[in-house]
Order: sequence, then C-alpha cells, then structure tokens
Amino acid sequence: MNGVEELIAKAVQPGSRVLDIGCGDGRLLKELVARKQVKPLGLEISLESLQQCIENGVPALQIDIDRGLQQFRDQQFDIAIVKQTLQVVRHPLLVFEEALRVARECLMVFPNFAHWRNRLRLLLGGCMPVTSSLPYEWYNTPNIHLMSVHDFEVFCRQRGVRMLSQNAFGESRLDNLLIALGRDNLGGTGVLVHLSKAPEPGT
Amino acid sequence: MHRLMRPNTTRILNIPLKAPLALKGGGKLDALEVACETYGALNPARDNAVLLCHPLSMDAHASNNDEPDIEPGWWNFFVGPGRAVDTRRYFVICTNMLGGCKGTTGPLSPRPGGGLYGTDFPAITVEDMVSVQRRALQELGIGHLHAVIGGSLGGMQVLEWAVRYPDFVDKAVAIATGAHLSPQGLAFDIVGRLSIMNDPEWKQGRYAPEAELQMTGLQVARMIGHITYISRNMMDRKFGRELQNGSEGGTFATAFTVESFLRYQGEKFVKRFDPNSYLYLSRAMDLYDLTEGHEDIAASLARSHCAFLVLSFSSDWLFPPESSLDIALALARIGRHVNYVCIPSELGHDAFLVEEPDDPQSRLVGAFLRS
Repeated sequence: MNGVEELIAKAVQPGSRVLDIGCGDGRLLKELVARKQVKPLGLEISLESLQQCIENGVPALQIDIDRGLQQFRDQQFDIAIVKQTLQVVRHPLLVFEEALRVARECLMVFPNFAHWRNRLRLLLGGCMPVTSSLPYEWYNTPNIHLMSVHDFEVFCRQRGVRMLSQNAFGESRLDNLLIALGRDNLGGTGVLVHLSKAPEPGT
Repeated sequence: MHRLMRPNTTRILNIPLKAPLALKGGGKLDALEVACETYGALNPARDNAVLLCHPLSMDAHASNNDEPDIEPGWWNFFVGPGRAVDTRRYFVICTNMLGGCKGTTGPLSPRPGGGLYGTDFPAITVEDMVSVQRRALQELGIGHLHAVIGGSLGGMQVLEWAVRYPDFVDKAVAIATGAHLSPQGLAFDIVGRLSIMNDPEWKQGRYAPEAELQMTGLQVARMIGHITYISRNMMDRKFGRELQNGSEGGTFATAFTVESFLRYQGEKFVKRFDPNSYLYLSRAMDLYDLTEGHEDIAASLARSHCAFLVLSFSSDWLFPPESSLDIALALARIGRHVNYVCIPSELGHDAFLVEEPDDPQSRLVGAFLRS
C-alpha cells in the first residue's frame, strides 16, 4: 500500500461496512479486509477491473456511478471511499452527494490542481500542466473535473459537510515543507479528506 | 422414440426412493430416474464438484470434454479441459432436469399402471428440479459442491440451490436470470404453450410420442422462444428485411430470411424435444418466484451464505440486466459476497450459450471459480 492507502486504512474502523466507489482492481478493499476485517463492496464500470476484483476475491458490482447510487439505501455503509474518482466522473456533485448519503462518512482522494508546479507551468509556460499526479495531455485526460484543495474546502463548507481531517501529500521535499507549513493548497500534489455529513457533536 | 434420443455419453441414475417423492404442487412420483453426465474426477478431498444447471431446451450433455468422437455439448466452449469450468480441475456434473425429455423422469416416462405419463405427469416446479438434483448428487456420492452454475431457467435453479441447501454450496454462478420472469416473458411463454395445446396433433397430451408428427404447435412455441432469445439489433444484423431468393409456393410462402430461420429452428426442435415436456418446463419457469413467501429479494436470499457471481448480458431482454442487478444488490444489502457484471453483447438472452472473442463469461466465471 502507498502512503495514501495507509492513511485510508488508518481512518477506517475495524469491522465497518466499506463502499469503494470506483474501486479499480479491488486491492485496497482486499487490504482493508486483511487489516481491518471490513465488510467490503466495490463499485466499478470497467469489465477488466471487475475481473481483477473477482481474482482478488473482492465483492464488486458493475454500476455506473454517474447515474447516482439510488440502488443503495441511506447509510447502508459506514464509510465510502472515493479515491481518484471524483475528478473523472461526469457528475462529481451527484457522486459527492450520493457518497455522503449511502455512507455516514466519506474518504475522498483527488489531485490538487493548485499545486505550485501546476501553477508555474500554467503561468510561465502557458500550458496545461502535465505532472506525475496529472500525467495526461488535455486531449486524453480522464480528469475532466479538476479542482484545488481550496475549491474543495469552499465546496464542502457551502454544503454543510464537515471535514474531519485533511491530509495533503506531496512528492518533493519542497512539497512536504509547504504542507508542514500548512500550505496544503500550494504544496500538495493531492489530498485525502475525511468527510462527514453529521453535524459537529454538541451543536 | 426419436424425441428421447440422447448422446450415449449420458447415463441414467436410478434414484432409490424410500417413499414416493412428494412434489411442491402436491403430486407424487413413485420412481425417479436422472440422466447424468460427469466430466473430470472427484479429488481425494471431495471438494471439487461443480454442478451445471441447463436451460429449458438443453440436456445433460453439456460438453464432449474434448473427446473428438463425441458430439460437442451445448456448453462445449465453456466446459472442458482448460476451459472456464476446467474439467482437469473440477469434477463437473450435469443432469437433465426433472420433467425433461432427455432421460430424466418426465412426461415421457412410464406411468405406474402402464403407458406413459403424458399430461398425467404431476405439476413440477424449479424447487422440485433442485430437490431431484440433490438426490442425484447423493447417488453419485457428492456431499458438497464447490460451485453450482446455470443460465436462464438453470440460473433460477442456481438461486434455489443457494437458498435451499446453503451448506451444500460454496459458490453460485447465476447467469442471465432473475428472481422471476417478467410479465413480458410470461406473455411469450403463454402464447407458446397455447400454440402447443391448440395443435390438433397434441390431443390433450395423449399423442403417441414415437409417431412421426409435425407438431406445428411445438414448432411455433420454439419460434416464439427464439424471438425472445435474440436481441433486436442482432435480428437487424443477422436477417434485416431480406427476402428469400426463389421462394415459390403461393402468396404466403416463406418470404423473409428471418422467417426461414424461425421455421428451420421450429422444424429442428420437434425432432429433439417433447411437446408435453416443453409445457411442463415452461410452466415451471413461469411459476418460479424466488421471493415467494418473503417480503423482498433480500429476505428471500437471507438463508444463503455462499459467494455469488451474477452475470447479465446488455442486450438480453428476456432477463434484462436489471433483473440480475436486483439480485446482486439484494445480496450486497444483506452482506453476502457478490460480484455482478453486465457483459456487453449484441446476442441477447442466448449470449451465455455462445462463445465470443476473448469470451468475457469464460474469463469471469473462470476467475470466480479459482478465487
């Protein structure tokens, strides 16, 4: 598991019902079953990924998440994972709202478009950034809804969604220094946020 | 009795009955025979048995297991050495279903007191078919199944296996099926049965099965069946509105390519299938409802605890993908291990019987059985 997946594993309660929205080959869920004895379910669209889920022994359903998750009940899951998925879907707002409806909490991971290298590339080079966290050209990128950490914070605030934690991650020493200084939106190539729709305790 | 013909690879298990076999509909059977084929070998741990449940018009001959002298079976591309259901790895069993006409007790079987059952055969259900499969396995010394696999009516049997004998099955593969047939599906079946029953040759089911009969009623029933097995796009592609060349024989002679296809299928079918058997099996399929006596699908599946693989095909309109997805969602809701995939295909309901390039069904089922 990489660093982000370690952080996800830390945030997931043992034995909880976990929905991985856009679960890919299912390896993260497999790891969570091994470490946290979670009750997993993955959602995927690609047949190849769904075959890999089967090979990995991970239960997964072929669902087009862009059409919502109305097949699932409110809070059917304890926690939803939306990892490197929100920016590739056609209807991120719908996926966001549905994730927080079917689960009490949500872990979201997405690339930060406002990372300093992206900013420089756009400002000085005048080109769409192509980096290790955003490795595509404009014409072949699956990332059709890019946002910054800052955008996402505002977005959550406007929707009354509470951010329980925010973990930016970088690649270089400079990235990590900026993150350590609290400048997630500048130093983070990506971010993991832990969200809850429940009001803050005591309010 | 040409309709009874079955490959000589099929053997008949004589199932000893201590008491008459009680059927769900209230009927009883005094004797029970099950036509059966097996491929591969039971391992010393006796944990590699796989049961195949065939769809309505098929039989126990699922595969020739790559024996060149034997006719290929109806699931040859899917069952055999190195195939998805690998007969080098698994001990594979396929039985003709109860009420069938390929060797298992059904309307063509002798009735106590002489003659054949015909329409005096008691009403049967999917539940009864599964009970009989269970008995046949017992007879073969199989006490546990690694997997049970089936499509369409066979898929319904798979679901029934999972809920009725939950400790017997580790993995269930339900393909192109549903908890029940839709009203649209029922409608086609009903017309098919009416066609058989209105055929003067049918004679209330008291025809002589060994006679050379036209059985146009069964022919039309089979044609209706074929319409429901093929997708609209496939019909467009395969036949279009093409007219047959050189059709002669009056105003209403066979004109369209699709017409000659259907006629050919009908004529071929009556040579290998019994009309009464068709009536019993199609009615059993129509009446099956997994949710019977339960609040919803989830409640009806609560007794199961095996892992499930549910597969549908995008262009299947007899058991549309949603009917499979409903099962998968219900299983997920009650915390069962379930994988669901809708395989893109133009072939319609028949897709599970046809090998496609890089066959997705084979890849998915193969992976599921090994996982």
